[in-house]
Amino acid sequence: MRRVWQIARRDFIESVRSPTFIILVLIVPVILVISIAVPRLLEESADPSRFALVDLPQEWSSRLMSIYESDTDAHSDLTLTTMDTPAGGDAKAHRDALADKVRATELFGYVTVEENANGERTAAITTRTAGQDDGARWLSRTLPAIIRSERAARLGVQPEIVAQLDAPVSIRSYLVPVAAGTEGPKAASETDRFAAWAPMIFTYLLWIVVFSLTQRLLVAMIEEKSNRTIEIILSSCSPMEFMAGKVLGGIVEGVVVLAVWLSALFLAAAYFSNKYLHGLDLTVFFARRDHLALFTLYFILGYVMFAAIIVGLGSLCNTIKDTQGLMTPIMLVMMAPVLVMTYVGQHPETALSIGLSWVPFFTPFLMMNRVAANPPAGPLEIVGSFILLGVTIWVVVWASSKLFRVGILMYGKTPRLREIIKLLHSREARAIPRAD
Amino acid sequence: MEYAVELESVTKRFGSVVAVDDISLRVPSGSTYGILGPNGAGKTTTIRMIAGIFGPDEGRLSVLGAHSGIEVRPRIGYLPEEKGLYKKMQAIDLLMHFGGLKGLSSADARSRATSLMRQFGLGDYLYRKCEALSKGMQQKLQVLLTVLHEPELLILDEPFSGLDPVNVEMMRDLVLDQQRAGRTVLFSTHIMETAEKMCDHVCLFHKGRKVLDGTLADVKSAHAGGIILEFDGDGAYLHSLPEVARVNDYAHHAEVFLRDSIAPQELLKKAMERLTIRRFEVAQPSLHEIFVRTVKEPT
Repeated sequence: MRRVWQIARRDFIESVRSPTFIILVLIVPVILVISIAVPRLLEESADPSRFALVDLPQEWSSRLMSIYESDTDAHSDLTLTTMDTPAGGDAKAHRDALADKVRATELFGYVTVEENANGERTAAITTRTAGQDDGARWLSRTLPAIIRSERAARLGVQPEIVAQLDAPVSIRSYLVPVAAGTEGPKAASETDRFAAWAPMIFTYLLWIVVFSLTQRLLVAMIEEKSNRTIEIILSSCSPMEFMAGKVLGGIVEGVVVLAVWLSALFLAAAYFSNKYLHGLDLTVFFARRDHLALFTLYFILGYVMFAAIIVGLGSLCNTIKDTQGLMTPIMLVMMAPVLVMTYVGQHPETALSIGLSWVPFFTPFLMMNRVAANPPAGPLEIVGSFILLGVTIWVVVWASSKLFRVGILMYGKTPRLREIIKLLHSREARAIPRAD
Repeated sequence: MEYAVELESVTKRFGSVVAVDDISLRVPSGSTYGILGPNGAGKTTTIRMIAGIFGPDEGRLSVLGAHSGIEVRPRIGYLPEEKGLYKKMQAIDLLMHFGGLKGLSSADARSRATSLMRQFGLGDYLYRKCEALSKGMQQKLQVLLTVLHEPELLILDEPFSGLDPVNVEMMRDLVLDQQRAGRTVLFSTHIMETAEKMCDHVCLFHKGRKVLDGTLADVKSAHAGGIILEFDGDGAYLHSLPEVARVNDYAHHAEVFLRDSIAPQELLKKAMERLTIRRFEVAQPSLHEIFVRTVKEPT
């Protein structure tokens, strides 16, 4: 076991020092920061857009200013200044002068009054850019309410009725828990909605980690094989210990990557949600700790299974080019659960969903989705899936170690599938005594 | 006599190719034992079986009293013919890693690695990455990681192959040091002269089979010697002499083998007629000669 740790430790240290690993670890936090914080930080760092209110009716101006004063969030988006045409002045010349101020970036835009086709007074917003600006958006939301209330007054509708008509209508959602013995429908919470994201995120994480780390594992192994370091190693440990060390090093790498990514997600959830996501609470992603624990277990078992397959097959290759032919079927197998996970999440009770989740190579991915679905996979199924994965890993490690024994000192042409099956039954694969 | 390594009717096949065919040999403890033979003779396969890298298909192996090299890995040092390193690792970390695999504690491995690197002139390169070292330094490092854990049995596969002249000398000194420390050194080579100078026991392989073995003295005394001639003139003349059975001709140096019942003086007399003789010595046969003669004999 000491030698297994020694090999795992070297591989892990070598890996974490490599630029590829550092990029892999940082990619999720960087994407989170870029996609969530940067746009908001840039917006925050910009000055509020300056708008001029030009010749607006007094009641519009005063209501607009009143709403603006009470809406403190809007203060970071825009400022409002009244710039009416001077008494006896030319309104058109005044607006031309304002347009010049917009061009000169002294103003972001201005609000004027015009008549629509029905002869009704309405507002017009003139800005420097055609794109959406938070200030312009605020005006587009607020002005119609003022105009509607003027219209209601003209039609003799009570302001209270207008307020009632303007009040937002919310549609509530209820969930019917399918698990036996549970109570009736319950109101769907944000937790329920966002918890459904978790398995998908884990599925993608597992996929990315397996794909990227096993590539690194393959490259390292091919290097050891091509420069014959492997021979010195195999004079110090058994092929099984070497393979176990490689896989274990990979597991530690995978867990580190997962831990960093989840921490980044957690920090983003804790610190960015309210500030930058308009109150959207991402911490609900972490609300089901039982799910997170199960996902982590499926993640580790899934990684071990695929890493063992890849190490076994990779030992038969001598160049990166050789690996492409062997890795393509594995990558295709890994793609399948990603393609069906949405279906499984929405229809977890169908025979197809259940059947697919019991295909060992799909189990880690699809059980994550079924655990978080409604109805969720039961405890027996969860335990059964772990047993299935345990047995599969045992078989995979057994077959891979046989291939590894032969493959690691095999140079020349990469064997085809038929030859690989033959190798599994070869004398060479059995020739090494068990590790002490 | 105690034996560090014993092989009894060992056979190893790769598919339809028989790489090692029914080999039996005994390596006495504390000896310097050479496995000799041309490329493809089965030397590396035999050495890999002894080192525990793979097992035999048939036959029995005993290494340092164990049934396989695997069981006594920490007591074996192995240097393969093609020597590789982890290029991105620091030199000291590399030695410590392999020392750790051989069972050394981290502190022991560090102290031995530091001391060995200083002893072999690599003291200034402890923390350099292997890829930053010259080829000669890398070769030294590869040798050092083989002896770091002070193995009882040192197995070297073509140890002099690819070494620069300075490192050839270092390797030779290292083998001598191990020999003097009472350790067993087993190495393979296809260069007979090297084995002749360093080994006390030899074993000759040809096409996967052992053709002869024994102490160097026994092997040589069992074969009739040749006559060493150093001369000026056209050596082709020696080939034309009816008294001469065969000549290993090196232009101005020749190893001459006479037909049965021909006395060396007859050759000297004839040679002096056409050549200026600078050296004439009735010598033991070289290992090269013994090998050539042995494999040419019908089996």
